[in-house]
Amino acid sequence: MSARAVPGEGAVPQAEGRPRRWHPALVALHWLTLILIAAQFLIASPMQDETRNLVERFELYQLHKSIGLTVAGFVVARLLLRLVIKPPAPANEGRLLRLASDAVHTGLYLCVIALPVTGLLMAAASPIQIPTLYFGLFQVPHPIGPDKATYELMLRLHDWAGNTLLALGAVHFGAVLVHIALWHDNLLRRMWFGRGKAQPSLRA
Amino acid sequence: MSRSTAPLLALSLALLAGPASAQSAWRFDRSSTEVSFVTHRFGAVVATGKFGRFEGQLSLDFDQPERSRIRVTIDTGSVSAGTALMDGFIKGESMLDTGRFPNASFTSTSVRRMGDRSLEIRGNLTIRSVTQPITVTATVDGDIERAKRGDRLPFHADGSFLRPAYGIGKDVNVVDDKVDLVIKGQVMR
Repeated sequence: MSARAVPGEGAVPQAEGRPRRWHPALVALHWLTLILIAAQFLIASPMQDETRNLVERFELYQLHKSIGLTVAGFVVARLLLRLVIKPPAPANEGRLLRLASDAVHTGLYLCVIALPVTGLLMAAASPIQIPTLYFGLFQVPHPIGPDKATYELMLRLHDWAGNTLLALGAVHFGAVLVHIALWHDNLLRRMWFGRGKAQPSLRA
Repeated sequence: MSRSTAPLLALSLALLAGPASAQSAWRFDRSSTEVSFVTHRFGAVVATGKFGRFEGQLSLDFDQPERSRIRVTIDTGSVSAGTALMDGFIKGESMLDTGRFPNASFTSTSVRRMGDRSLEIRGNLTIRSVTQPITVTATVDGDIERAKRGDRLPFHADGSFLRPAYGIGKDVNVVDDKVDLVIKGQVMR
C-alpha cells in the first residue's frame, strides 16, 4: 500500500501546503536541546564522583540542575510550537516505519519531559537540602520537601529515563544514518535552516 | 639577719608555691589560629571549612599538665567552606542547624601528658545540644620556656567525632560519618 494513497492526517507526503522543513524555531530548539543534553551526560559523571571535592561537585549539581531546567523550558516551547506550527510531511513511507518513527519521537519527548521532572523532584526530596539556583540567578522553588522514599524513587526513575534516552537517542541517530547513507533522502535538511527550497525529504 | 633572709625566704616560698601557681590563663591568638573541620569520602578529603569566630579559655599548667583546663566555644554560624552554597548547606537544618544551635563547644575533663610536647585531652564535645566524649591530641610546636616568658606558643590539636552521634546530616551520604576537627595556631597570655 502506497503512502500516497492513504488519506488522513499526517499520511500524505508532499501534501500541498506542507512545509518541507521544520520551522526554524523548532530546528533551533532541536539542536540546542541536543547540545544541552550532551552536556548533561558529560556533567553527570564527575558530578557523581564521590571522591571529588564537594564544593566542585555542588557546583556541577547546580549546573546540571540549571541546564536540566533549561531543557525543560525548551521542550515545553517545542510542544507549544508544534501545536501551532504545521509539521513537514512524514519522512517515511509505509505504516510500520512511520509507526516506529512516531514511537521513537514520542519516547524521546517523554524522556526529556521525565528527566527534568524527576530531577527537580529528586533535588527537592533529597535528604541533602541544597537550594536549586538557576545559573546562580534566582532560586527555583522546590515543590516538595525532603522525603527519603520519594528521593530514592525519583533517583531510580531519573537514571532509568536517562538510560532510555541514551537508547532511544541511539536509535534516532541510527535511523538518521540509514536515511542519509542508505536511502540518500536528504533527511537532515528537514531539521536545518533554509528557505523552503529543500529537496524532497522522501526517498525518490 | 632578717633583712638578708627576707628575700631568700620570699624566693623559697615562691619556689614552693611555684608548681601550684604555674597554672596560667591563656587564649588563642585569633590572627594566627584556625579552627577547621575536615571531611572525607572513601579516604579522600572532600570538604574542609573554617570557623571564623571561636573562643578559648585555656588554663594551662606546663609543669603539671593534668591540672590544665580547656574550654573552646565555636560560633557555628561563622563557618566558611568555600562557597555560599556549601556554607548554606552546612548551616542548614539537616547539618549544624545554626539557627537553633548557634554554638558548639569542647570542655576538657582530663589532660594527660603523652610525650615531651604532646597531650591527650579528653573532654566533652557539644554540637546541636548533643554532648559526647571525644579525645583530642594536642602538640606544642614552639618553645615552652620562651612562651612562659611571654612569647606566643605555636601548637596544633586534632580530634574527631562521628556525625550520626550528633544527628548531623542524617541520610546525608556525601561525606563519611567521621569528621576531623583541627585547631592550629598560637596561644598567648
